[in-house]
Amino acid sequence: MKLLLIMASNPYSADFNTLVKFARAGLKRNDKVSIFFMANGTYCLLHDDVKKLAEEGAKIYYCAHNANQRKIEPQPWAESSSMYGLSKLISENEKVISLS
Amino acid sequence: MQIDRELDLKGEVCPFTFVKSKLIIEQMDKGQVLRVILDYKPSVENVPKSMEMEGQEVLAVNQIGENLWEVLVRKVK
Repeated sequence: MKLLLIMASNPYSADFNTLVKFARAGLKRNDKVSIFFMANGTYCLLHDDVKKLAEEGAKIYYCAHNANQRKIEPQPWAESSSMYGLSKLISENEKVISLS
Repeated sequence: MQIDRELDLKGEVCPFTFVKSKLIIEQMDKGQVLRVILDYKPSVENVPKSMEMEGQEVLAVNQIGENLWEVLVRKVK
């Protein structure tokens, strides 16, 4: 299954724990997991758990504008994207879960 | 290269950079070339990416100043 998780909450929220658990559960059952970070969710790019998810096979995207506003530097394991990119991801995935 | 339309988006940020580019390219004929001027780095990455996802051909992304870029797009569809 193609699973997209959209994360707009900060990394100190309960949503972050939910995100990591959802992503790991998806990866464990060989789902194709994509995560899109936007708004304060872009702060999650600074969290080691997100880098680990990328290493475990999750595809990481982020809103470049939102990250730039928060002075979050691009990470080599995360792909710069946009609201247009998010709209494409939503249409391409079978399940979409939004955490905000 | 012949430039058919030019769009100066200095001072604009996402998502308006892509939205305004898309609105212009919709008015153009197939084969015509749009030159978009940008001064916002995240848009320099994502306007070409979004244009390609739309099925258009990105001919070049050139830095033309200290904080200034041009994106050349040919309308394909």
